[in-house]
Amino acid sequence: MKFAHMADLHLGAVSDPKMKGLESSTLEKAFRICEEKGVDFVIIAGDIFHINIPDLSVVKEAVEVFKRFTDTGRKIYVVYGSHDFSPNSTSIIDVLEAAGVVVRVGKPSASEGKLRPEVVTDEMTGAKITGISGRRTSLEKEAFTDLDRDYLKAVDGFKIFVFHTGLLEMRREGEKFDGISQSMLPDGFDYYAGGHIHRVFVDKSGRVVFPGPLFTGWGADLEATVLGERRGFYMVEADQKGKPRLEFVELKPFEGIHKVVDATGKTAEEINEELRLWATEVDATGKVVLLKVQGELSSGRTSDIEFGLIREILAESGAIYLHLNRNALRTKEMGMVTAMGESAEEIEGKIFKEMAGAVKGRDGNPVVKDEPAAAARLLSVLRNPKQEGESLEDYFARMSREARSVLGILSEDGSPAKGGSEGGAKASDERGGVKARTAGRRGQS
Amino acid sequence: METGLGIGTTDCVGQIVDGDDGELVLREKQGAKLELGDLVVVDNERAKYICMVSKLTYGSLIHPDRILTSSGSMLEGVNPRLEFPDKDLRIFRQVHVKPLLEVVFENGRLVDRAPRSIPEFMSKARMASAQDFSFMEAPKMKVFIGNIRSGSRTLPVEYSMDGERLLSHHVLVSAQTGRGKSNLVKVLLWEAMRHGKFGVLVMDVHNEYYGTPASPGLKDHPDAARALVFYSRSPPPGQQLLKINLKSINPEDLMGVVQFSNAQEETLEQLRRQHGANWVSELLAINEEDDSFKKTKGTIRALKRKVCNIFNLRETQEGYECADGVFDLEKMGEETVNDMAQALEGGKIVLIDGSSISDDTGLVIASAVLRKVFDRYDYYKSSGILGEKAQVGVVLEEAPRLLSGAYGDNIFSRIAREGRKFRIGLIAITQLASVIPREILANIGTKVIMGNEMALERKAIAESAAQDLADFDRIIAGLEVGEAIVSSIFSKFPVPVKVPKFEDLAGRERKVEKERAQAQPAPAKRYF
Repeated sequence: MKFAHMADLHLGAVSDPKMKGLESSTLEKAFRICEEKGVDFVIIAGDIFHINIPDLSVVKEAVEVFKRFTDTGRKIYVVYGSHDFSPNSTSIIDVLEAAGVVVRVGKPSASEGKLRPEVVTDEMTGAKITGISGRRTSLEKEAFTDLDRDYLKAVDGFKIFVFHTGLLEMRREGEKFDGISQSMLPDGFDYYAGGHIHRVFVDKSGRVVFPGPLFTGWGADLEATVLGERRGFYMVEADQKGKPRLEFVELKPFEGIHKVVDATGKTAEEINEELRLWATEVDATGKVVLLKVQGELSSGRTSDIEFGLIREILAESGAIYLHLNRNALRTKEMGMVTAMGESAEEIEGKIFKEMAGAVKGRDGNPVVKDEPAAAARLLSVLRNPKQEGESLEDYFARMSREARSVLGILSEDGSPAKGGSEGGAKASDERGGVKARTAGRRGQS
Repeated sequence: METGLGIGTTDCVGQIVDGDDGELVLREKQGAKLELGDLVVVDNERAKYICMVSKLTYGSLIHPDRILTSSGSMLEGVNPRLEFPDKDLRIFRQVHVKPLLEVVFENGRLVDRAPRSIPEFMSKARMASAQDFSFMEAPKMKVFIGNIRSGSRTLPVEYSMDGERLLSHHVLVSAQTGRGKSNLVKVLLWEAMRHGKFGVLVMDVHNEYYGTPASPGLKDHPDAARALVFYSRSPPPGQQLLKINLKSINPEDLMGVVQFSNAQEETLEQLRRQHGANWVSELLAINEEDDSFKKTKGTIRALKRKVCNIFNLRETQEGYECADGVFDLEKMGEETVNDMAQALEGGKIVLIDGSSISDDTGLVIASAVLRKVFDRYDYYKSSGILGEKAQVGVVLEEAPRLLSGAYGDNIFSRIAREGRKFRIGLIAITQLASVIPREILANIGTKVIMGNEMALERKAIAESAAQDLADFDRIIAGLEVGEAIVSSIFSKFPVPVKVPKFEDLAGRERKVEKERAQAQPAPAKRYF
């Protein structure tokens, strides 16, 4: 038999149109290879989609690819991943299963306090496939603890266990993620199809396999891809007995350029000049550019750096996408503050007081009056979690509204926010309003 | 008479007839049959004295010549029925007792202290009872060690020590084989697990602590899920696979545990400097036949051999691999040592199944973990937050070899010397306390002394004890399995205890836990 093992597709994770195009073409390419190589079935070990109810255009594209494959009589076996699973509402995976596009394996039943995941037999090959779905924050660990191992041991034939959980033993030094010990995997399976960890990993036995994601368009994963981390899936050949033969199918979703700029000791203007020069000279055509600016500026604000301009230059030169990482960029104007206190509130209060006046409007004056109080109120608002039943969109809108209200700045339609402080309203008037943006939803797995 | 000391009238076992502040001599009441190690109490108006029987002798008011003549008559059948008149009055046993403690009633409460005086002459003595130890207060972070024992009689008085003090100031368990060392350590660990505040690293060379389906072990502790983590080559589901990446091992972890020549040590140090965490792979990759290694060929070969032995590495067509799978030269197990250190810091017992690895290999792993803990705790100390961290300890089975510094300095001797400042302590187990340097023995705050027939060992441990145990030699020699004397700087007297059988201790709690679980229906689970 021959099957493909993919994981962590995270379809719909990117919002940039060009990256979206790359995402869907990578998926198409993967399934085209599966068809060309004559695989009997495909396993996707969780996180097909980035969220449980993704954008319908993303679903449509995925279904088209999946259907082309399953229309030939072959199956796609899946488990929920930590991203496309929802404990309270239906996941898109359920919809796809109901439509006959995928088969979810390992549906649970309990017997005498033990978990017995359903074992599905692939009609074409006779392979027995089961598994444990992933859940948010690795809540599936309990399922591994309760697994009826004797029941699974008694299953005969070529057995595949699909899971979406990291193994603690595979962590790199300093890498933190919650997961299970390899000892938690049930004994006696011929192949363990893992997902959730965004890199290629095969254990010494050659049976415990993580293919990593097909495509990565965000954050640290994007950076790893640009730096050379392999992306693709495993093609597995096996007979009823013996060790499966693995072949990694590398997809190379994009070419990348990685640029790191150290801003330490330089002024914002100098950095602007350096970046402009580099962006003009670099050959970014058809490439994803990862630009990391770090260090401490000797003068000027981080917001003085014209990243928008750099983005424009690169886009004009034909770059597919610019991923900007300025998390480690600091300025002397916002140095380290040390504060001691009995409680978190006290420490926060002291820090706000210390930092008051550090951020100024164009006129050189603070943008809000009584900054420590405004900052404390803003923090309180930002701590507010998403309510049950509230959509992400509503949640972002509510957060934006409340944050604006605290700061007394204009809402997106230009109307004055209600309930803002007097000073805050004045500051926003002076600045002509601040357009608030919610951060894009980017997760790691 | 009410003295405030809570003394009731009990049977008298003897009367003080002689002695000094170091030893009292009682004339034993006929039939009292005191034994070595028995605890007796002398009640006086202002204080009571708790004493331990340390020696038994005969006393007689009959002239020795007459005794010998009478004995001859009886033995030779001249007068087999000869008896002394007033025998019970004139022939008796003398009981030598060591005053351990003086208990006085001060400021409305009972206070114990080292004896500052001696009881009234001719005071009567009685057997100690549980009530006599009512002055003992259970410490906040109590770690139960055993019941107070009077000779071979166990009193219903629990003796517990403060876990923080116990672990921070090191513990020495000294005993011959078969006297209950492992049982005692299991009891200590079981007790420590109750608090979840003590991180103890245990290299379990016989895999006897975790337990099996048939025999109880630490896995059966009600708090095991929270306070125990078990590493093994073949762990039961839910526990951790013992898989350590060799990048986590520093040459420093081998030195002091394994013997190296100066040239080998220098080469190791050079490898560490040049290649950092990859020193093992780089060492194994050296082609010693290459001209550049002409001078060090022998050293490299010897080092390779030693490293392969310690980590059980064998050469295959694809390169080197660990024969038993514990160590990894590639990508697995990079975080295992960090995890262990983190678990210790979080107040967990970290149990490593050392049954399938050599003792030296186990010590190298323990060294790597403790080095990590030391580094972290050093940082916490300088940050002023060390007090918030769990007290850490390590059970060290081969204490003398490591603490004697036979192969040079190592993390264990460092802990013995300065661990206290970093909240890291030793639980050193040995039959041969005499081999441990005196300054290290003196640094160990608590000694749990179990039966030992070797006079040299008894002497070594008695000389380093927190209390004067000079007169306890015969008592220590006669200690049965599970019996111990605890001499601690945190105790005012050497405490005779009977350590419970671990199976009994665990069995009792398992029963309670089972009943509790049966009374509470298991919460409904939802799988997906």
